[in-house]
Amino acid sequence: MMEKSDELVVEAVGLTKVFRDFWHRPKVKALTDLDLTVREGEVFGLLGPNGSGKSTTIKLILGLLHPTRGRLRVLQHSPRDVKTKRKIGYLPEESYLYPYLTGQETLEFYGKLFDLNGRERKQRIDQLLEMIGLKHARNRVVGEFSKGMARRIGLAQALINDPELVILDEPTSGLDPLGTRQVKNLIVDLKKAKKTVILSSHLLSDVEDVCDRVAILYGGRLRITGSVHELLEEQNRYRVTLPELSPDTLKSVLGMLREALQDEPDVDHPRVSLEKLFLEVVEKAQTTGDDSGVTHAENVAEFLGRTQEEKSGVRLETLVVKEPAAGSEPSTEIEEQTEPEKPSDVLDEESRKAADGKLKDLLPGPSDD
Amino acid sequence: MRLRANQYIALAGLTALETIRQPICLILTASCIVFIGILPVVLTHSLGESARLVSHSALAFHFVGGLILGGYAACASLTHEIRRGTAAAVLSKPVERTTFFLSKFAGIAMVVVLFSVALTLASLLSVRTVYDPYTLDLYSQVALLASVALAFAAAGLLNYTLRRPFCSNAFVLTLAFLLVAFISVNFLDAQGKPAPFGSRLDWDLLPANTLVGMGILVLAGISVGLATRLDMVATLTICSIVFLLGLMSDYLFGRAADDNLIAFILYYALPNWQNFWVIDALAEEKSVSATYLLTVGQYGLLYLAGVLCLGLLAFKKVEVRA
Repeated sequence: MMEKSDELVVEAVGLTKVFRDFWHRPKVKALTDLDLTVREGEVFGLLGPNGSGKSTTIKLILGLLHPTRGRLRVLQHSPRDVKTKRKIGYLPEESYLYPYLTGQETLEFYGKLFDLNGRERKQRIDQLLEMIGLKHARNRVVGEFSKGMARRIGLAQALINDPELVILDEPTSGLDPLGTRQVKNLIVDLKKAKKTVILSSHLLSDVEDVCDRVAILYGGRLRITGSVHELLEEQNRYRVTLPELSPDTLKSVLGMLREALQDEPDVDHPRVSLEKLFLEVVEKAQTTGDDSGVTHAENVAEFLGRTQEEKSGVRLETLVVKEPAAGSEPSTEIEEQTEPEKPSDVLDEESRKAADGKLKDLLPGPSDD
Repeated sequence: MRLRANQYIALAGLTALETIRQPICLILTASCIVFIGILPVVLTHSLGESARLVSHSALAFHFVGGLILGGYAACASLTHEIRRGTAAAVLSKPVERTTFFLSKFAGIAMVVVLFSVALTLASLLSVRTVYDPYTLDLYSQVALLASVALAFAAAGLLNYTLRRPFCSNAFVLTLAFLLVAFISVNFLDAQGKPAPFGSRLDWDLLPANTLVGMGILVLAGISVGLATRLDMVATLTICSIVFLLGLMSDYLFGRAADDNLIAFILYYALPNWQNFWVIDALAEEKSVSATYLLTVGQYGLLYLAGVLCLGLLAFKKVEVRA
């Protein structure tokens, strides 16, 4: 588990938002007494059905709406502070692009809003277009893009300023499974680069795959918040995955479990997820040279993958504290970071390992006979 | 300060580009030029009054076309942006609302000025066509109409070969070809022989068109201010009402302004378009003095500044919900 800084990126206390009609009469209470904190470097998921207050919360964080009551601080400042917005990247939920601009012009425009100089802007645009797989469509007007392509260019504009806080409203909406996987990988890479990500999505599996903590809203109220791991783990149940067993071995294992548990255990064959199967089929098809219109780059844009330390000249390395051998001092060494961890099944693996350890204690060891 | 200036330029440029890439901008500009171009033919049998009728009609096209263009562009760049979320995307960046609002107006003003320049050139060429009563100067008319046709053909070719956006290219090329046509034709007389530049032009139309252009800018400012809160139908309706009331301001409110407080307020609050409409004076063979031009220019600028301040106040409080 990644160690989190105590520095709060977003802090909301008693946040309430009431929308009023033309005559200034209260019309809709979109948020009621929301208390929320997002810590630096974490991926935070905002969940809830339509009209639960997710988008309102995001727009309050961005200073686009004004709270009716309560206190809200973003990066230790008021959300309406323009300087704070230099450190924020935002991907809105719906169509938010100028339809008559090309993909390249769109990114040029947003780059200019951050006063990026021409050379840096060009570098970043090239890297981002490569990352989102739209390099070949850079001169097509955005109005002609499919929803998925528009989403990708929207994602690129949200990242052009190399933000500290990235707010993604339904980032995978309209994307194919490959694009969805790419966005999830990107979120993990952003987290590795010490960026804070606030993610709002209806796709619960996406949130589960990448988020450290989640908040569930309903009717404008916060219903539950906590770490995904803690909220989803069933502490009083275990899952055991076994290799292929002969019928006799399986029978004896089940008999042993039945005897120990005094109950019938559930047994079935594990299934791969449809996402995994789909990705395997597409990857196989790609080896034949066919393309679906959007190229899928695997690497995050170079300027995004760098942490603050790297930007100041230090390479991406991980400090590993080695377990001390008996009677010796703990040692530290620097090793190069390996492949970025990918989102799928990360939490499952962690919980499985924990459960495995506990199960070993419970089940009888292999027979010495 | 530098950041704000760069943002201002980027946003104003984007607004202008987005506006000229919309088909309605091209259709409106091209159709106004073509209508002005064929006016001499339509008004041929007017007992020697062709020049006066053509200049009146051309200025009317200029004013009404500008009203529609300014109103539409304001709605497209503010109301639509607030509704469809582009404003939210931009305002989530380090962009002050003041910068956003004023740059939107600047972008629209750029397009309105280009539209005004195009229609001024078209008016001058069209009036030159009927410079001699009962005969048409075909060099002038053909050059005017051909510039539009050539611009469309060239933009079509660019779109086909290089996939360049048709509407914006056709708009810019129309203006460029019109300028080339204007300069080249005015070195010729009606028989196509070399002549001193502009010897057959009614130069008094230039200040008249300039004043109409100022009037359109004021209308665009009102539209931008209204577009911060209202949708397109409401904005265009109110603009049309302001336009009509402003045209009749002297008659409706001016006479009663000394005795009636409401008439007084309305008379001074509404823009008086008669100040920008000097064609009646030209019809009486009077020319527009530089002093008058400057005075009306000041009036227009002050009115515009007031309208933009009100619009800015309205926009500062707007919640961007989309």
